[in-house]
Amino acid sequence: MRVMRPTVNPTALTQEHRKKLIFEVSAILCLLLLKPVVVALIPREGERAGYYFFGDQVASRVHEAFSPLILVLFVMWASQEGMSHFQIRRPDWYSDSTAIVALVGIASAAFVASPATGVDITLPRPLFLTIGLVFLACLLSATHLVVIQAYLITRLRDLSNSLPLAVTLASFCFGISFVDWGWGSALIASILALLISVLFVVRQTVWPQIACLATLLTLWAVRTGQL
Amino acid sequence: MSLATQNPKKRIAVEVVCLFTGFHLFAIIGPFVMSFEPLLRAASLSTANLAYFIAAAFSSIPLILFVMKSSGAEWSEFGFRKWRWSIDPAYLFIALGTFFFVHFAAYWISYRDLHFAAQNPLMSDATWVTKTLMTIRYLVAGFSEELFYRSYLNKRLDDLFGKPVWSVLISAVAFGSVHMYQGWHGVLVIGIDGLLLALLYRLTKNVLPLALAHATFNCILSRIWL
Repeated sequence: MRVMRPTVNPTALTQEHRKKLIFEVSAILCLLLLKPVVVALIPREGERAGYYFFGDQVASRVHEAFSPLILVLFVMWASQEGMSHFQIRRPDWYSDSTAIVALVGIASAAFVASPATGVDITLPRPLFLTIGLVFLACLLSATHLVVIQAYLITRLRDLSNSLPLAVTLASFCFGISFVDWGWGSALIASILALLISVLFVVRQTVWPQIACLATLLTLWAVRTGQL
Repeated sequence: MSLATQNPKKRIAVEVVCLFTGFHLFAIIGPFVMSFEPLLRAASLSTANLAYFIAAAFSSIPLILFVMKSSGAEWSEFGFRKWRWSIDPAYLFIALGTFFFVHFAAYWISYRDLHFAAQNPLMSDATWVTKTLMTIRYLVAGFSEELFYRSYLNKRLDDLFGKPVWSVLISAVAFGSVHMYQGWHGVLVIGIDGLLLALLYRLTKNVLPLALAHATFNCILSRIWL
């Protein structure tokens, strides 16, 4: 079993580098947390009932997942340490494929056993949206969830030099980013983030978690018509 | 040393593409995806919705500032300068005049108004809270758009291509294209706005008068308080 070890010693960080890391993490956290927290805290007034259609929902999901994903990937790529510092590297087919098959199997079994399988498809939408964009949205969402978690854990560990603290803080931040869906959703997202984080720390790779989440989200979206 | 620091040109190209697509992809592809919808989406206006838009516009600012800081250039190269009372008010009025000129010329030619708050049927009975949030939304959008399209994009495209003509043209096309939700007419008019403002930015070397003019124009044209 591989366990992630700190590669940056905070005592060795120069004042300039430390300030830069704090600026970077603050900017990313602002990008992730500002919208949901403001939406959750603002008093609701003048709310109007509207019809939300599947294309609109898919386009929003693609944007919400893609936007932070591409920005965080860029920040990782442009960092002094490079992508591999964040454990974003090519899949190791021999070891990763086993984990991918196992996790996708567990995800599929969990989905079949869940009450969601009894939900009828509620939203009308063209077939191409179901097949193409839904899969794209799910894949992007899964990648976004995992990559952001990888980024936060690595950077918070760099700053604090404590892996448990980094995992806890990253999971908490991740949960808070779903607070606009309600506090229950924030709690569930935190727990999910904690599981992803532990897998990430133990295996030092993002691919099995991405495959697992993408499978779950695609099954959910195709079955229930919700993203 | 990472790949990004070894190859500065590649770094700038990736940076520009990532920031543009990251912040504005939805504005470009959203209208195309939604055009396939068989049904129209009902109008929705709520404080939560407006707060979302304000936070969305504001949340991009720290990351753009971080990327500017990381580029190694001085803040003044991105157009952050002290307000000069001798000249900047004049630039502010020229920028405001440019906005009005382009929009009224477009209206005069095509008789088509652009998509703004006054056209939203829900604005007629909106409370002062909604109107205030709407105003903040237009102010923040004006500042963040100027920060990205004039301040950031012009400098980084200069670094990449070395010729200001490409920076001005590409930033104008990018600025126009993110207003796809206003239709091709909106893309063209706002693209022309972007072109003229980029030229004005070259003259002023200061983003503040343009940002103030943009925010003021947004608020005036939206006619929220009328």
